[in-house]
Amino acid sequence: DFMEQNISHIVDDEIDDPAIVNASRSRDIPRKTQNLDDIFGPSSPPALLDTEHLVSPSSKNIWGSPIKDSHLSQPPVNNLQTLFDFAKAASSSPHPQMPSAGRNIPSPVVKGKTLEELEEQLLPKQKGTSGPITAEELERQMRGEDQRVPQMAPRDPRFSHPPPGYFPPPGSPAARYLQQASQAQRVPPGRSPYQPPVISDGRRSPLAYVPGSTPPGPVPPHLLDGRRSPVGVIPGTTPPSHNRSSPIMMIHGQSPLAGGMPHPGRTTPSPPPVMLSGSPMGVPPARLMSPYANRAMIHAMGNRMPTPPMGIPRPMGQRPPNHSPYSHPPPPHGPYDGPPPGPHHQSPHSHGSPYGHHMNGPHRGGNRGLHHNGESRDYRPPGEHQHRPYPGDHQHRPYRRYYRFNEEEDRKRSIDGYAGLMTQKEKDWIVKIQLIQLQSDNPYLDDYYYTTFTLKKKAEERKRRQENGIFDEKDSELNLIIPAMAKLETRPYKPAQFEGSLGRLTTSSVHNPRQIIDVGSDIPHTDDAEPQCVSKELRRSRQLLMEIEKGYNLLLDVDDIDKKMLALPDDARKPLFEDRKNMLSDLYKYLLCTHRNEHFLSILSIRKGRKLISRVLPLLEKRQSEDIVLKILKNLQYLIKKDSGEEGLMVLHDPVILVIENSDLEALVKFSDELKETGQNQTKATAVAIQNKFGSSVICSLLHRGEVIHSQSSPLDMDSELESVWCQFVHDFAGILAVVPTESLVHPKHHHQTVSEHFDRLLNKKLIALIEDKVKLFTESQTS
Amino acid sequence: MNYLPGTASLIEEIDKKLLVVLRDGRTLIGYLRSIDQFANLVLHRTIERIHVGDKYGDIPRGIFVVRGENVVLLGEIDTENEDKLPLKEVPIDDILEMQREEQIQKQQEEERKKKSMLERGLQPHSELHDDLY
Repeated sequence: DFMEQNISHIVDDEIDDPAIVNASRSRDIPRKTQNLDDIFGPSSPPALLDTEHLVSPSSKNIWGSPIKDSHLSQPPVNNLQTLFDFAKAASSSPHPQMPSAGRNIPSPVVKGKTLEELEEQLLPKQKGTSGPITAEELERQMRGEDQRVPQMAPRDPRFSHPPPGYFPPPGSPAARYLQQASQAQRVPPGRSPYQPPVISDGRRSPLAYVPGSTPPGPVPPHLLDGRRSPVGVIPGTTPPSHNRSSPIMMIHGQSPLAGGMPHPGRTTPSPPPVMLSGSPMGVPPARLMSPYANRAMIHAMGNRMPTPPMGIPRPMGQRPPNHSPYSHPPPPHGPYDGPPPGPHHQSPHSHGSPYGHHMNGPHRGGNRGLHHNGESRDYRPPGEHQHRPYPGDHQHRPYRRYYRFNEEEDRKRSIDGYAGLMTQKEKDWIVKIQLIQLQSDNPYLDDYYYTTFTLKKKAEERKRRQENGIFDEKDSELNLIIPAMAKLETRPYKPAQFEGSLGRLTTSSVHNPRQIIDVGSDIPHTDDAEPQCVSKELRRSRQLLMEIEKGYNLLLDVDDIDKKMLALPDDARKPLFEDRKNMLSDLYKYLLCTHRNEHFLSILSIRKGRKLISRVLPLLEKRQSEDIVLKILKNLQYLIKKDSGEEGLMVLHDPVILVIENSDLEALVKFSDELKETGQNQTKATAVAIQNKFGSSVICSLLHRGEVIHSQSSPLDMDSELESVWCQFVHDFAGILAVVPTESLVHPKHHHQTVSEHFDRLLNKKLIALIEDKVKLFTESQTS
Repeated sequence: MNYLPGTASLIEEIDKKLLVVLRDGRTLIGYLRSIDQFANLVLHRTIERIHVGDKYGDIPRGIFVVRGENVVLLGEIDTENEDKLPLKEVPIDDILEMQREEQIQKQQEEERKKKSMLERGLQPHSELHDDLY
């Protein structure tokens, strides 16, 4: 007895020494151990989540914002710590007086076990109740937890944001489902994968969607068509996230979806694969994609999966009455009226009426991707299936309204069932893009053939209209033939300039990039190194060719300006271009005329040079062109001699003739002067001329012009001096004509009856008789 | 209404039954449901038709999304005369078998050619491309 007392005195619980605190603690443990037994016993609620969810309890929720998570992280850690303690204590010997011993030994083992049980710990921990928990209990617990983590609840879109109608009345099985689901999510501490407090705008914005609101613009169809694509695109789908969905899915499977579902009608449990694949789609992409794309994603997901993961707010889940990608609310319903009720018998068709429409719609949307076989089965038109009476649900009205809009698509749909997938808006969008791609600054360069084709067509049309006598305002306008050009009136871009800034804004863009390296400006001048053995002739000819090329460049520039001028009706533009054109023409003139005769001749001796002159001639002013013709005629003899047999001069024919035919008597006389023989030459230029087609054509046209002038103007108007000179010329020519044998005469290109008339006018009869035959050469066309 | 005269546009081919030849030589037949600016196609109720000689076989594929750059050509199928083909339809397994044989033959032919080229000291024609076109 004495011994007992002594011992008990030593092991007295009422130890006053404040330093010894442990003794009281040791007492607590046995009580909690009993608690643990209750918890670990057979009556404990089943595990809600997999082990992996609890991998790293201290890891922060990577989806959450830092501020919010900080609140989350602390309590869970505490919970875990205490739980660990409990577990260790529990696994230790029934005598909890040795907690330390127990702590050391089974800790590794305990860890694995407790991780699994952590959720159950959390759930009833506060209350200390055991056994089946009613929904109210759960709810209260949630609320209790909510108080601890106040940020969660108000942020939780499921609870706070959706319209009140969505929140299920407590006590309904749906509520329980909700609680469980939210608990399941709460449980992995530090992870709130589905309730982003305010994570990103992308996530948030769908929240802002109220049923009935239309989403912005047409979503890029390809985003939505490839419903699976975001999954592939976003690499962030990790197994944990994958598994995260499973409990929810299981919950889905378990709980009958009563009418009080917050997500209208979309909750038909589809086969798990759909869910699993869907959820990773839902969670990470929403985070990583842009808001715009995210909305698209939501749409895609919404249509594809009946129940996107929890965090994606339900109101988005119902198919909004946006017309863009899902402009076919009814048609896809048809083929699937059969199948869906079959495999998804769990689906509450009883509550179907307000939600059945939704359910079936996205359902089929989801199934479409899956059941290819089903598709092939059922190509019959949906027909009557589409018109289910949904009297009470205002949300269906938008669908039906839209459905009535497109009568044409109705027809198509009735044939095909899937027609009209692409709305008119989308088609217009594509066409708009294509039109933009076709715009160009330089239609002649980018699409020459099409441009000239349209120009020709318009010209023909105009001519036709004019012939028919229809006088149209727009016909008289040669402008605006290239409609695209009319818009090119932007002033040269002047970037914004700020006062007092140290420098200018960067103005480099795709179209005028910043020059980084100067490539090609230091080409070594090998010309100097070139040996002088290159003959002078060669060099000169090369230089000549180069000059001709430069001439051509100028010619092409003038051509371009002409075309541009034609297209632009703007008067302001025209003078500007006129200036440029004049400048170019001057260049031409100097190139061709101010050089010595030899230079001109050498140009003419090259075929390309001749062509150049013939193209330039019509562009020049009268005076300039006459000068050129004079030059040509001056050298006609020489040219013809060189040209014998080739008729290369004919390329000059048309423009020269044109000039002659527009010349006055004075010019005519000048021309004829050139043809007069120069002192030393025995042979007359004219004689030579008429032995060449070009020459004879020239002369013929000269005479023709002379006759025209004479016939048109009265003798008083004509300058008598010029007249006499001209007369003399004609006489001389006639004399030559008489001398030259007929055989060597060459027909001119154009024949003028006027020639003989002219001769009649100016010559005496004798002379006329002499040359009568030869005159026929000029007046009649070639018969041979 | 074609906004773009003188151009080709797939807009008018929508909801039509088309035959699409891909760069890898496959022939798909399906209803064109949707397009985009890159001429990516969404084909519905697609079947892949394999031709060997004058026989062909169809494999139902469902929905195809084809990237535009892989399309060689496409054309509308005349639904009225669709069944009047001079070709004979055979079951899928048969046609796959025939295709395999054809492939083997081609390979053998290529091998022979390569060998004969090497014998003559020439470089054999290198088959760098997976695409047929």
